[in-house]
Amino acid sequence: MTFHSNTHSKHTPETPQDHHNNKLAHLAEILIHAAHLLPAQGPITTFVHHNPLHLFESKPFHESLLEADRIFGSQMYLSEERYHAELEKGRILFSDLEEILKSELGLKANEIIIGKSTRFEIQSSMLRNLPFAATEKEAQWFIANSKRLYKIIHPKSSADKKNLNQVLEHCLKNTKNVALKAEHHTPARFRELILEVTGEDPDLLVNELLIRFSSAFLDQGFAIWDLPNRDAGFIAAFKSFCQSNPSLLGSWSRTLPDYFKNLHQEKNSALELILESLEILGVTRENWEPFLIQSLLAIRGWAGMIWQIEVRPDKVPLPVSPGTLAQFLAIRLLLDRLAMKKIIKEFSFRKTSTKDLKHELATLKNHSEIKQDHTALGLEVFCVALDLGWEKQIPDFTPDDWTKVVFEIENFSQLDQRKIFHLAYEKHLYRQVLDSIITLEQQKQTKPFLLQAIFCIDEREESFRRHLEEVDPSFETYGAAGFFNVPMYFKATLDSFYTPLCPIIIMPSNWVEELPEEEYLKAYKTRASGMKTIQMASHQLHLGSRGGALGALLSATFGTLAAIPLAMTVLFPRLTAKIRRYLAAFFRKKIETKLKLERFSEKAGPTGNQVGFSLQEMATMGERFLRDTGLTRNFCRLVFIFGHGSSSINNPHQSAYNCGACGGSPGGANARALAQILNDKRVRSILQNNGIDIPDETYFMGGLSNTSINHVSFFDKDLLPSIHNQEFEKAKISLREACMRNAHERCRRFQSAPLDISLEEAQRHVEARAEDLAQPRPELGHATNAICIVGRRERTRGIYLDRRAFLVSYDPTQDIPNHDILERILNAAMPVCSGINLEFFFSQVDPTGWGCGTKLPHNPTSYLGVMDGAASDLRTGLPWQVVEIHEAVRLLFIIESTPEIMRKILKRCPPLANLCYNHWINLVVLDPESSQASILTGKEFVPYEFSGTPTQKVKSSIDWYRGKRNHLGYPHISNAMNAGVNV
Amino acid sequence: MNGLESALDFFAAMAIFSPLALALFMLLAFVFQIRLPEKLIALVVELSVFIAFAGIIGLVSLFLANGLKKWGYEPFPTFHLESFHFDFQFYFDWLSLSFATLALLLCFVIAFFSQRYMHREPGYQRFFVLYSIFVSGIVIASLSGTIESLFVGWEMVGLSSALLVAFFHERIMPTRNGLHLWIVYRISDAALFLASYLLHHALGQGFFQAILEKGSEGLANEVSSPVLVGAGVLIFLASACKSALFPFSGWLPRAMEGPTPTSAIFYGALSIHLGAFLLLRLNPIVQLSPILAWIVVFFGLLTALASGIIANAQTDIKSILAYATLTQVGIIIAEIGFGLELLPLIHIIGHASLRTYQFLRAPSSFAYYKSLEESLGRTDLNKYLPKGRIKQTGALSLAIYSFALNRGGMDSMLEKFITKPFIQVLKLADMFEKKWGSILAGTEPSKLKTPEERS
Repeated sequence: MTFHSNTHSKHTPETPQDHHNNKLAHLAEILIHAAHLLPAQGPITTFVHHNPLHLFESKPFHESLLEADRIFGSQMYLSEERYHAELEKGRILFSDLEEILKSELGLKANEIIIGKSTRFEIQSSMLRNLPFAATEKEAQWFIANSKRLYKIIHPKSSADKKNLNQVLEHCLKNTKNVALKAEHHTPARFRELILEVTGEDPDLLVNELLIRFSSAFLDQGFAIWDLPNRDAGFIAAFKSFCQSNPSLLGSWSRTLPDYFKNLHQEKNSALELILESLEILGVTRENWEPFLIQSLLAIRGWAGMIWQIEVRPDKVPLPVSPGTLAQFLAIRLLLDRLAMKKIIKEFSFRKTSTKDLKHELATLKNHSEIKQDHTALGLEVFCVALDLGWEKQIPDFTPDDWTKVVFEIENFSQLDQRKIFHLAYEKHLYRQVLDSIITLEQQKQTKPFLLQAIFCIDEREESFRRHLEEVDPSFETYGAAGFFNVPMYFKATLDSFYTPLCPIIIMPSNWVEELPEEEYLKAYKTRASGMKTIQMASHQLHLGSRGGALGALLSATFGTLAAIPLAMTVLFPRLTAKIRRYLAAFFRKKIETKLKLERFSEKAGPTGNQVGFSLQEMATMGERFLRDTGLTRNFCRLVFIFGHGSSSINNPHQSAYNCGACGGSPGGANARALAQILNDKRVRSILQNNGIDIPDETYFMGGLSNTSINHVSFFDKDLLPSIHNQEFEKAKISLREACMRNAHERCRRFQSAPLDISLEEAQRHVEARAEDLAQPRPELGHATNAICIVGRRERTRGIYLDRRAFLVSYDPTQDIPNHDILERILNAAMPVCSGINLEFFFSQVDPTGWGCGTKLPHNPTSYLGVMDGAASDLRTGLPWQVVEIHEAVRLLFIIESTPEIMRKILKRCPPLANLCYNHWINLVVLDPESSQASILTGKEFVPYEFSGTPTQKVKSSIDWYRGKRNHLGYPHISNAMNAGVNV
Repeated sequence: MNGLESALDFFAAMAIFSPLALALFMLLAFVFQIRLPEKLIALVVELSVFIAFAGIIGLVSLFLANGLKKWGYEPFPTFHLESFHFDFQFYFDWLSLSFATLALLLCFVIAFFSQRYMHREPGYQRFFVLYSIFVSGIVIASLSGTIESLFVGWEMVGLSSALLVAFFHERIMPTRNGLHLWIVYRISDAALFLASYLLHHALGQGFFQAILEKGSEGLANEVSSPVLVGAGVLIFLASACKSALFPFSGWLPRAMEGPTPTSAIFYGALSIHLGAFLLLRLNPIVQLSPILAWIVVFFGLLTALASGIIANAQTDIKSILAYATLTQVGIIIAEIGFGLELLPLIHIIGHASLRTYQFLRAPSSFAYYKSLEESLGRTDLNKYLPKGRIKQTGALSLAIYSFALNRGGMDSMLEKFITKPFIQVLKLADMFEKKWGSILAGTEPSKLKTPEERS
């Protein structure tokens, strides 16, 4: 991502026309690159987690962060204050800091800088010192109030105040003399310059108009009227919008209609307009790229959304044509010009014509004064000097000494320091997890398992699985990506169209429909048409209430009645939800449904006989699923498959809580489909031929686990053979108990749930959250995720993983020849899990820069996303309420495999190699046959050594977490370890 | 004093002093920087709003049981100077009681909502300080019996509204929009203040009771009408600013910066209707001059028409609801202009309840549209719904659309004619103050170079 222009290299004489075309081509190239820097979040109703710095994954993590820091202006690590607080709490160990610092410095660590102080000592002293004066102003304040200063830094030596003041003076003076003229980072746009000199922000003018117009242009159905001339493109629509009613524009943009009138027909294209603006503003060619990137990033949410819709028109009902982003940028630059002109004119009381803008901006630069007096740096030098006991020597420092010292201190930048903190922050967590895993005693299975349950790999299911194993040790659990290897477009009975249920990278090639059972067909038809009528009527009513005449009639007559649901839902949310459910059940008879899963025609399609899979397809999917999870033998009589979803109300980000492997939808249908496939006699006989023998008495049952209210429901209960009834009833009791315990464990994270809450109350508490209109945290989503373990459950069964680990089932002993299974698993799991993790990482590190800020003022817009309040950029990323308790650490991937195999696989899959070798995730391989773990350090696997701290042992999960809200360690739970033993 | 009277006084005191005590308590804690726990704040807010609500309900039931029509309550002796009196008096009749019931019911519900919605927000305490000032303000404004006590409530509502718009003050837009709102409210305050002066001048007092009892005709017989008409015009101006009537509507969509529950209660329900309430309260004065009454009708209908048009092009839920609200407020104002009394009141109550509910559910709009889309289908949705039916191509429809998307140009008008000059005056005053200050202090006014000098 360096800002080089890389076009013109030929020396053949160019005609002016060639030259011009060359420029346009260059612009187009820059635009594509810039577009990839924009937030990649699509419409919020299908929220998919992704790494905001996805584009940088081909480069090392920390290096990319430094580079991204310059481009985006958002925070990249947590703040120094935050790290120091963690240090205080013991979450970061100082010994880790020093160790990391040493290994980062390598041979340079022991180089002596001054006196007896080495580079290592200086840097570790800087890490130790509290960051109390980050800005020049703060530093000046502290120097003026030296009493406060000495209170904070606690000088070690008993030097008297006067002496200290002298040292301080020395430090300040000499630092000022020798400090590098820090390269002044000139902003790429002119906005900063104008703001600095005139105090007026041109972006305030431009953004307001541009946001309003863009939201109208992109609107997918919130507004009643369509934007006129929308189909003609962004520029054309904007032009006709300006020309039709010029008097209503703000005074700064009043000249727009004239401008468009005088515009040459052939100069009308977006690139031509951009070129024109670049020339008028006097942007030199080597500055084009940073200038255009920053201009797009000014309102990155909207620009990103335009690009998303442009490249994925299938995601929205009203797509935009290719090239819209360029048109958007052209208009942006045009408006920028006008706003700047206006502000400069007001500022200098002179008449400015567009032609002079270049000139005006240049003269404006003279007004800007950059003051640097290095007070903060001087103070930092002072702190280090006191810390290392240089007070005595300081008066004797030569100018050369000063240069060396100041250079050293200046060069260990704040970002470098935060990087060290970050690494120590991660290291502590990684060590605890790895210690717990490698010291887990291999359990002897004394009795066979009686029940099996397959869950999504989601870390929210970790606690559910653990509690289930504690409640009933005869349960064996598996984890697999929640679409269960059944990628499909799915349409439920009352839906009108198909929704893709699979990871976003897969395009399904089959369609599956949910149909009512024969005997319910009539009831279904009445319901379907009834629903349609009710929806239409209620929508008309809703629109009416917003209008004039009907609105008056409605509000004057029935309006007061709205006070009843208003007061009820707010004051008694649970009761209201109950009443609503009761009414719904009363009016709707239950309709039994089935999946139309099998296709009889050759070709797959969305209608008629084309719906469904062929028998062979079903067998292939089923086999692959079983082989991937390693469930190929020892089938129990009853096997559950649970998809997951989340229910909540009044929550624009609801889709982010659903199953990521199902494209932000609940994954129940996939579980149901897989169960139906694996129950099919013909599928089983194909599988038998391929070596997977499912006993006749084994029955698969699909279900849905609701992660917000902690409920499970089951599909096709009526098909359950009666011989399984007894087991089913027994399993249901265990599942219900596990749900309740899971709810209880979740409650420890909710401040509004008391710590001594009982199991039953906890269940009610989580249910109430999901039904509450006023609840901004129905659940905490993927918050606190930190680990992903790919391997057999017995390697982790019995470890309290604190809802922080994605658990992927994989049996290395069954993956012999080419390790295709692991490759397949990682190809899906690594990008998905790291995407989730990094989205949380950055949203926590900078909640308003990478995240979408607090939810409280969010304003749903254009059926695409949310704005802050009345008019703001489209906010992408995660809300503060979701990431609040998250710890910004990179995902630790623990894979049950060997370094050799991993290397082979990474060689075959370049995207995964990028993630691992560039350390966007941290990789550990766990030997399948021993407890040896190796960490990928740099490009090499280094054996992990047990830290020596024995992992705690507790009887049950609840004994461990009860009464605690913070992040906990990872002890061994003895209750869950008696695998297969029925207690 | 008999039993009924003391019971009435008791309930009245409950309704008025409970929120006032709350506001005082919250303000003191805030001023002395005492951090109160969330639960305590929620408890005292809910409790005192509930006490006030119970007081109002007590009053209503006493009124119903005894067939009372009106009741005056004077907690303090009147403050009289030779030619000046400040009457802090409360007046209960069907209008003030119904508006106060509505206000306190909504305040109670929203307080309940907010204590969960605002959980763990760093500004939790600040939010409830402002909220309790708002509650006291709205109670005083709706129950006051004189124009000067109404003014006190009016001010409290205005101040807390502006500060709550600017609640997220770490971003620039909320503070900027809060300032816009505040400036428009200042105009409204000034108008109301002048009106109260004129009323006192003409009638020697500002009692609503006296005005209401005399009615338009009585007033016309008694005092010179030009003064009263002047007061009427000012009152209309005050309520036009407060209720965001055309051409002051520009601030309303900008006010949607605060947390969702405040948008709901302020701009969906109470603040926005306060202007209409004032007009309704002083309707005899408005009706004194048929021309003024027609002007009121005209601006009411114009507001309804303009915002009805503007609403169609809005793309975010809060603006859509803001203009939907304004449409109804315009109609209500027109109803008042026609001299109606019961209908506008019913309309206010119904509309406020409905809109609050819709505002609170604004974050649900994605789920709502999704379910709509799922059951009706995307193509069907476009076919069934008005969207897509209207394809504007003609010059007229284009002009109407750009009028709507530009919000009638009211925003830029407001900025150009009101807020910008206002701020410039302030800046100028600031500059002079500095200049004089430094001259008096004997230092060089070094920082006061004009831009020209600097270059």
